[in-house]
Amino acid sequence: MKLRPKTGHLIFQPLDTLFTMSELFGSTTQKYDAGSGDYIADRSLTPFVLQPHFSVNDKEGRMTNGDYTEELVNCIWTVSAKVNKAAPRLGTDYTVDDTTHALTMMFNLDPDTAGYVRFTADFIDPRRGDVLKVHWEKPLSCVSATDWKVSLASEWPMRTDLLPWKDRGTMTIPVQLRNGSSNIPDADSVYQWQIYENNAWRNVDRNRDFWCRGGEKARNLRVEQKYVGRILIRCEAWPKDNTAELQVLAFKLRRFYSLYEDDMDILEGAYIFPETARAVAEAYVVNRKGGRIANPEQYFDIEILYSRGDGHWWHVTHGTRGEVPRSMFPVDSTMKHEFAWLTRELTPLMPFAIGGEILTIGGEALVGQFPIIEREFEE
Amino acid sequence: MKHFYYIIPKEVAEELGLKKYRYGNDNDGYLANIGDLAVYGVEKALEKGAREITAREAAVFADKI
Repeated sequence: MKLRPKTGHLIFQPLDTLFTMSELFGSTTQKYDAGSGDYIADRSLTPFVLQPHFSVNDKEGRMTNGDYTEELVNCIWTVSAKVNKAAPRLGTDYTVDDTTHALTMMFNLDPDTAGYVRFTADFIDPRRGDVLKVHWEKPLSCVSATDWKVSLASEWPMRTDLLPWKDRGTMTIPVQLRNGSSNIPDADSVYQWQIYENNAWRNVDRNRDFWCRGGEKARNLRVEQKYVGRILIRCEAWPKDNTAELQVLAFKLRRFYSLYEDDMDILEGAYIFPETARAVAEAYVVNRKGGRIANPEQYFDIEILYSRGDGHWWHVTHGTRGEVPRSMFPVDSTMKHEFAWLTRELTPLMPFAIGGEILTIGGEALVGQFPIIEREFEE
Repeated sequence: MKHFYYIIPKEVAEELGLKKYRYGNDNDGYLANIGDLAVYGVEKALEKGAREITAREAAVFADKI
């Protein structure tokens, strides 16, 4: 009798599986602080871990329900990114745990680059050998940003009194744009010096502002003292790519005579004898510490006058030493003769201008100093 | 200013399950970032002996370990 088989079918209920990826101690996105050069977070300090989880729920109860992550096979991590312009290396930049299949990333992406991380694996259904494919992928990115805590600092005092006889020559007023505690490089900064004039700020112009010897668009402004009278200047500075962080620092500089005393000595001719041929007087200026100021005529307009005692004053000289010949002496021996001096503070060096046009000689501006007050007596 | 990195004692590292993934040891503590402590609480970690460090100090610590 012929065998007559009848085919039956064993129906397997498909496994109920769940695959998840835990992002531990970090995230796939990074931030790079261009100001400080720090990564947030820096994976080289606190690595980022991706831990796959694979769990199974068998409705037929042939398999034990639970976690089967360690049973995954053909596990492949693919990490695509730029690390110092190169691909990340297994063992150096990232590691993979052979048991848990966890990926640990110790690398930082290059700023403003993107990549991805991918995990693929197989799970073999032990009931009949079916292969279940697992695929997970996520982009990686690093965004460059700057945490702005901008400030403008200077060691130069806000107010500077410049004694004319303590000539500093050309001074450098330094400022520095900072972000947090770091200096912002000059290439990434904008500096603009301004002066307050006619109730408004305007940019410093070396052709008009003779005291400026350079640096009006840099962080070191060079100022020549002999041209400084009274100026209020300020530096505006900002990071090149962030004008909203504009910072301002102002400085006041003035030509300042402080306390001084002027006096005169009659060196010759205080008493006139028949043989006295001349009378000589010397004016001088004493600073507040009592010392004589050298070459005071450089800082003061000093005029020496002479009188025969008749109330009329004769101009003798501009300078510290005045000399009068005997021919000038009073003819009447009962009369006294006198020297007098007039000391007036001088302006800084100023350009000569006519109708607003600065006079020049050989291309150089013509400058001079002038007494700051009028001469208050009549000859 | 809040720091981004912390040295946390081993007890805290154990509670957070961090020991395997962070630089450090039981004696010196473990290097964690502020994200690691987000759920646990920075204040609580500080109370348990954690200390704030700068990024530079963190780099030195990681290098030493």
